[in-house]
This record gives sequence, C-alpha cells and structure tokens, in this order.
Amino acid sequence: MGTESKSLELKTVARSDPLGDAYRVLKGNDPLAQRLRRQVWRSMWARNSLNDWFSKSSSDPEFARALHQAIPKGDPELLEEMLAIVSSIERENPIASYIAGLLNERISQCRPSSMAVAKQWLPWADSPGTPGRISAESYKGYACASVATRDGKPAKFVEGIANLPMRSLCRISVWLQPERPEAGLFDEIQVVGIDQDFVTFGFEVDCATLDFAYGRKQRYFHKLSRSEDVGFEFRAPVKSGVHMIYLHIFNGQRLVKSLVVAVRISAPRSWKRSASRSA
Amino acid sequence: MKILLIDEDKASMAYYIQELKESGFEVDHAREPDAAFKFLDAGGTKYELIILDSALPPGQKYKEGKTDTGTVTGGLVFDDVRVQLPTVPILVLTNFPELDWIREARAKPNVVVVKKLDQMPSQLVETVREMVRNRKKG
Repeated sequence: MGTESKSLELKTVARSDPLGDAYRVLKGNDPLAQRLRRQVWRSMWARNSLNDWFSKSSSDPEFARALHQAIPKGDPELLEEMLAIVSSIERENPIASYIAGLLNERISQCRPSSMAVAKQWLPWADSPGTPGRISAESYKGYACASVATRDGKPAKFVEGIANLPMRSLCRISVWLQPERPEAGLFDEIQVVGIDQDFVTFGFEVDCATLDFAYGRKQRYFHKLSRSEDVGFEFRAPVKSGVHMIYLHIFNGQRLVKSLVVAVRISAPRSWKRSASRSA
Repeated sequence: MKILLIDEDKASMAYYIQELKESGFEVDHAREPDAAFKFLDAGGTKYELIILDSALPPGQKYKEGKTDTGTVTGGLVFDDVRVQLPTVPILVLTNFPELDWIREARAKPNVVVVKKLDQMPSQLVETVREMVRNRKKG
C-alpha cells in the first residue's frame, strides 16, 4: 500500500542527496541564503519532477500527453537545467526525446535569438569543425499526423486513441503545413532561425513496443506549402493493447517537436462476430 | 494539528513532510487513493487539512473509472474527499494547474491551488497555517 515510513525515508534522502543537504543547510532570514535556497529548490524540483514523469510515463504511456501542461513557460534557466538532466538520462529513450522536444520548444519561445538556438540540445554542437554553427530555419506551422491501414482506410479515433485491427499492415503519416487543420492529430510548431523560403525537416519514428524500420526521412519544401507526407509502416501485433508512437521532427540536427500518437490494437469485428456465434 | 498528504512523489514529499513536522504538524502520507481513504475512513474528522496532488495512480478504488493520463484521478479523489469532509480545507499541490478539474476546484470555498515549483516546503507551511486560520475564522 502507499503509506510511508517517513523517518526511514527522510534519513535515506539526507544521506544520499547533496541538493537536499544544501536545501536544509540554507535556513534563516538572510536574503542571500533565501535566494540560494530557492535556487536549490528549483533544481530539486526539476530533478524530482523529471524522475516522477519518467516513472509515470513508463507505467502509464498516456501520461506523457499531459506533460506540456507541467513544463514551465518563460523560465529559460530552469528549462535549460531540465534539458541537461533529460539529455544526461538516456537519449535513446523515446520519453526522454519527447520531453527534450517539449523543452526545446519552450526554450525557443523564451529566447527567440540565434544565441538561444545555439545553446539548445544540439548533438553535433560538440563535434569538431562545427564551432557555433547554427542551422535552424525559421518556420511556423503545424505538425500533423494520421494513422491508416495500408489499404488507405483511416483509423477510427476513440477518446484520442487510433483503433487498428490485429495483424493488419498499418501506416502512420506525418507532415507539416502552414494552416491550422480543422481536425485530426496536430500540434503547433515554431522554429526560430535563418529566414529562407525553402526549409528541410527530418522525421523519425520511435516506439518501444512496435517494430518500425528506423531512420530519419527528410522533406524539403516551400514553407508556405504543405510538405509531402512521410510514412512509417508497421504490422499490428497479434495481441491486443495500447501502444504509444513518438514522431520526432528535426530541423538541422535539432529536435523541434515530438507528436505522440496512441494506437489501440484489437481483434477485427469479423473475429468478434464469429467468436460470439461459436459461443 | 493533523494533515493528510496525498501524493505519489516520494522524493519531494520527504521535504514537505519534514518541514511540516518541524513546524508542529502531524502528517499522514498516502501515495495512492486506496491508502488515502483508508486513513480517512479510520478517522477523517481528525484532519485539519488535506494536501492533494493531481497526478495519482487509480488504485483499486478508481480502477474502472475514467482516469486518463493519471491526471484526472486527483479530481475524483477531490470530489470524494469533499463528500466525506465538506468543510475541511483542501490544498491542491500540483504541477498541472491548468487541468479542467483544478480550474473548477479553485473556485470552491476552502480550496487553494499552488504549483509545486512555486511552493518551497517553508512556504507550504505558511499556506497551510493561513488556510487553517481562515477556516477557523469562517
């Protein structure tokens, strides 16, 4: 059950947590101590919240969908600290990539300057020969996604989850467009960078439970037009269940947006009818 | 003075609990709804205040309910606590202040909503004291 042995827990935290030690030591009414204490608390909040979100998103994949509400706005120092924590955890983890995308997006909203773009999570930034390179391209529009069976039949959405029949070949598509769609899966995307008419975006799919052919696909398009679709195919498994698919969108080498698509795999209706007849 | 704290997050809660205890409060900590209602059923009237998080696991109590993304469970707990303890102050301590159920709760009497990031444990103690004082005045 969820009741806690508080004294034991506190002792454990006190022994192994330098941030917690600093927080406890910084007591009193001295303004400097109070300011430092607040800074330590913010760091503790960032670390503890991210750990909590990773754990909740792993046990309840849909939790990730609510995270955009929890990530602070207009606080670039804290966002950058969170980004450093996320990128040190595990870059291969789809949830980490998703949170990094949200953080990058918030940072770019705080500091729309080229300096800020350079400070974000740029895997190539440490590579020799690319000092201070900034390759972001200005773009404002919408990242959209759809799910269909391979014969083109769109998946039905129930409570935000795409329903797909077992064993069917399926395709998840993603594209960018300047206008806000009237319906479907979409999210706003804004990139601050060099202003030019044609832009290049990269698209990757990531899912811990379904098999995809991994690799980045690129689209080069006029920023006032709809990009071509990027499709990722997979076969729905034979077992029913819900799966979370992450679509990561890159500009230059920077992750600028992640869309989360939930799909529910279930037996086709024909199977259910025949099962009930035989019963 | 006794407080029931309902929050799954162990790491941050340790600091809140410690600060509350050092300030003279007794704290029962439940990490999911079943444990919370076990405490409440055993003597809910003894609590002067409830501290409630928004993102909780459903437990057995809300297993069949609609608790999408886990952030709705706090709202279900809020409603049931209100039925059991209609006037006890509820402090919603959350990372998700924009959720629909929290916007609605904010308008109700004896409810205060604070963000975890903005509420250091020492500040939480002040908020708790003020809520308890206001209830006694009312």
